[in-house]
Amino acid sequence: MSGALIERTSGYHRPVWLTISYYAVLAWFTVAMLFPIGWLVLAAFKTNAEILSASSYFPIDWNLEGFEDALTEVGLLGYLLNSFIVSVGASVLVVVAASMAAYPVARFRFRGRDTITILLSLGLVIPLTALIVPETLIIRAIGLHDTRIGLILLYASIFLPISFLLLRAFFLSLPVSIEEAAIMDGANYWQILIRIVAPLSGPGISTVAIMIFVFTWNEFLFATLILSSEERRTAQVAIRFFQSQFDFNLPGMFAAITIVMLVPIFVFIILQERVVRGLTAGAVKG
Amino acid sequence: MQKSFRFAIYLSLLPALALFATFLVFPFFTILVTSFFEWRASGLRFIGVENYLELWDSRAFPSALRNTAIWIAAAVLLHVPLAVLVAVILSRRLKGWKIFRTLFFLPNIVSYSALAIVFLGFYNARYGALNQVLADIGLEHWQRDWLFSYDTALYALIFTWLFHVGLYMIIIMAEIATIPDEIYEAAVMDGAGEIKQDLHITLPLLRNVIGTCMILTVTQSLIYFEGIFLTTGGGPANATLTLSMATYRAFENFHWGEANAIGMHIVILGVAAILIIRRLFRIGERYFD
Repeated sequence: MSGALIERTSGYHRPVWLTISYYAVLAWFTVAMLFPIGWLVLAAFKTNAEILSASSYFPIDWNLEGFEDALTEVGLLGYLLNSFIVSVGASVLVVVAASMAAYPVARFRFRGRDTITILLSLGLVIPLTALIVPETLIIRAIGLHDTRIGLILLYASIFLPISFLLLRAFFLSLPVSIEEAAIMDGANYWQILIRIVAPLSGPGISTVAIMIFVFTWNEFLFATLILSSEERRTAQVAIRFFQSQFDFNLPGMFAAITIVMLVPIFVFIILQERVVRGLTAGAVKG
Repeated sequence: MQKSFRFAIYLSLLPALALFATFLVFPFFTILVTSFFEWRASGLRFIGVENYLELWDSRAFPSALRNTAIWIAAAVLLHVPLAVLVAVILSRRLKGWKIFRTLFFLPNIVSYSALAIVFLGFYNARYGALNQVLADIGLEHWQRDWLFSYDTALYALIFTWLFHVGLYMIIIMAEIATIPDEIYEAAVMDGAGEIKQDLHITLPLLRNVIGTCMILTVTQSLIYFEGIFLTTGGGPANATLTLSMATYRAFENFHWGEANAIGMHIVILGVAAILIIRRLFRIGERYFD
């Protein structure tokens, strides 16, 4: 952060009308972005009749029945657990595979090194929605349809290019001297990677893992295509069936959506700087 | 020293390359090739450009193309400039700028599918938040079934793209933070106000990152699916059918060759957009020093 932006305005007094205009834009934008989500979260605390009458924005009594229904009636906890298993599995797999590929590309000269970087950068812009037919059929062909492993493998591949490029940039920023010393001492490739580089790479690796966790937690299309049975559904896939499952229990449905939204929001609020840094690095370098 | 590592290095690359080849390269060439085939559950038959001709001749596909084009135009011409405006304002570090930054970014962290239900609630004809607001400010006659009327459905959905502005805003703010202060100091000495500084200093220096955000928003709009599938499903009467929604429909009807031909349109439009925007914004060229 270059920081000294406040100094940019020293010796200059912002006219009042400009300050007001600034805040007017920000206020409008805040309302436009947060009103729809805020409305839904508030509605989760209302009764069905209250929502349907569209009489007030805030609930008359804050009742938690919607949240009770969400947690007990439709198996939401099971879906959240499924999401968690898939997201953790995919994040771990992608971080391991991407680190193992990004490290040698960042550090050593070998035939095909630049080709790999170019190919994976191109992988970043493949429009995934265009690939639904082959992806689904490949997963079926290798016998992984309707399995978590199948979805984890697919996610790890989809998010491999971005993870690879971020980790490559991270490894390039690490000082090379410790590794050189280790090579002098006769350490082999795997010893360097596992004992020296991995422990030093905590910040980079965890940033990527957190990002991929959020991305996979939120993914809908491929989860819908791969997981057909009810007991393996992830939370995002479950949303598709909420309208029929909750029938006309609107508070229940809105409460379920609120709970599904909360997980990545918590991750984000706790780890904000890291997520933002990862996203901006990805965009600027990608 | 490096020679002895060669085998280990190739072994180390293997898992990533295997995943990449199986789930990205192979599918990509599959859609390229099979877009020239009639491909159903029963088997494959080469039919040349028939899939493409049928698409261009159909009623649904041109609407999908048109709707996607409108969506992209709005994202590029409205949403990215809005992101620039907000980023420039927040970079002035007004009181509370960090809170605004977090608030504006939050919707980007929520899943598209959850947001889709938010839109259903917001636009609902009977109890929706938008109609409620209109009633409260005395505009009852504006009330309508936003997502399910032919005239408003597409624009109602495009409006929801506002939720992505936060991501572009964050990226642009990161770029503004790298502009050296000295450039501004000279302008302040010359008596230039903030608006002048932003127009003559900040904006020109943001050329690259604005282009990057436009590429991001075009590629994201091309593949956007959840918010349409879970709300209108492409209706009413194809009013909100986009290319990605059309791909899914063809897939569901087991017209796999056709689905892949639509997919190829997404690929080609994406590549074209990236090349055009890179050229227009001269991305990759250095701008100072």
